[in-house]
Amino acid sequence: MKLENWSDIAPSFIKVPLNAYKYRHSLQKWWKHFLVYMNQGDTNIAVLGRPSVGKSVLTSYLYGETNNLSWELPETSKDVESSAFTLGNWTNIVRVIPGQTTNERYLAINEAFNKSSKLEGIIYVADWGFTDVRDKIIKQQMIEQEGLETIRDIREFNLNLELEDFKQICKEIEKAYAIGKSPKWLLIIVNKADLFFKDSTLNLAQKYYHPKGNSAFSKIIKSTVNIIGEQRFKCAAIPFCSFEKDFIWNNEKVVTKIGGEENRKALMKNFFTTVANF
Amino acid sequence: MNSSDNKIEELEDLIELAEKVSQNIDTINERVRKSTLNAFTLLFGCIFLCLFGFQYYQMQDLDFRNTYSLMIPTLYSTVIILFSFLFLRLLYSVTSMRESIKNENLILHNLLDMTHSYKQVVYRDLSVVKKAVIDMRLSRIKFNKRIPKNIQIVKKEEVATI
Repeated sequence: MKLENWSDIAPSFIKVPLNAYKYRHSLQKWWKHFLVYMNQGDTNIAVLGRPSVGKSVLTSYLYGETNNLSWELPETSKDVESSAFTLGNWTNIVRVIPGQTTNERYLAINEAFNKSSKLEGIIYVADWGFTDVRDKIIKQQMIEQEGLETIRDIREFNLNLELEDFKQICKEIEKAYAIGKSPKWLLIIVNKADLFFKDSTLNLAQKYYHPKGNSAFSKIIKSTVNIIGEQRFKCAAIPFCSFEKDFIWNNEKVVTKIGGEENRKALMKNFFTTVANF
Repeated sequence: MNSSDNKIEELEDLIELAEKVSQNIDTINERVRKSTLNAFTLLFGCIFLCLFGFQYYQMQDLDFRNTYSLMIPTLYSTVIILFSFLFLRLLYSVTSMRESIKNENLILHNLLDMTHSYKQVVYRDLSVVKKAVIDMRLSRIKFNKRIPKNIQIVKKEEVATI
């Protein structure tokens, strides 16, 4: 008798745990999918960011849902969106936490940072100030009464708010470490890269978001990393484009210039490589 | 009162409205739950009465010349008809309450975008304590109310044209 696998000689009752070990990744995957379906399980990866930066679109894009003809741009997320996402061999529960200060956000942040013992990493979605205002009336008021007439003004305004929001998230990370929870990495995804996909502007964005840069944003990261320790907490910032759309503000327009699907795929590949290296 | 105070007051009005609408939805939801429970109790009561009556009169010989023997089935039928009427009335009220929830949800959805966009505008003029108070008030509001599947959120522009 020719033995292909040494385990073939083992009695059948031993094969059950052997097969369970052999297919552990698939079993873990289906278990995580079941947990997501039941809305249970600890958060492994939390996706955070200000409202309208494209958190839901980002996860849909990573899932390949945006290629479907029936897919439409989502409305404001009112609740936490959970999904099971396979990175490498293992599947993680990814939770997209709404950007608005709501009861759902408050509870989700509490669950991810204070209760979950399996928080692996945090994805912070930024958009280099290209955040659109969803409410038309408020948008009009911002243009007419607040003096935010140009794209430059609104970007500056948004970048300041982003700093405030990011500071709060970093505080949550520091608090999580203080109580013995340990997210291992922070990935800053600079979404809407199609709006600044040019060598010079991409470099400017990189300087602004890079964990070792000198911008106000980088300083916040540095401060958090210094508190936690560089060896225990890894940080990276990458550009990304989950959906191509022009940015229009008060008749000014920034046209999308990603330069083809190839570049978008390169950005996506970069995302997976970065996460795999954490 | 300067424009900054005005803006803060407007934001507080929006938050107050969101709180009221959210509370309103909770109250109506509670009433829907109670009415549904009452309706089902009545329905089961009706079924039980019908079965019991049918069983009882199958065993009896009805004498239609005797007024007394006719009185009981008449009363019995009246109770069943009354129960059925109440059951239908409750069903109708549940449907109309669901309609109100639909409208309130629409308002709440619009308020979610409006309040948070406006909060960003006002944020620059707020003190740290005021910011914290507003955040606390907002974090108490549950914006994710259960919406029945057949309801679609209509955008504000569409509402305006209607």
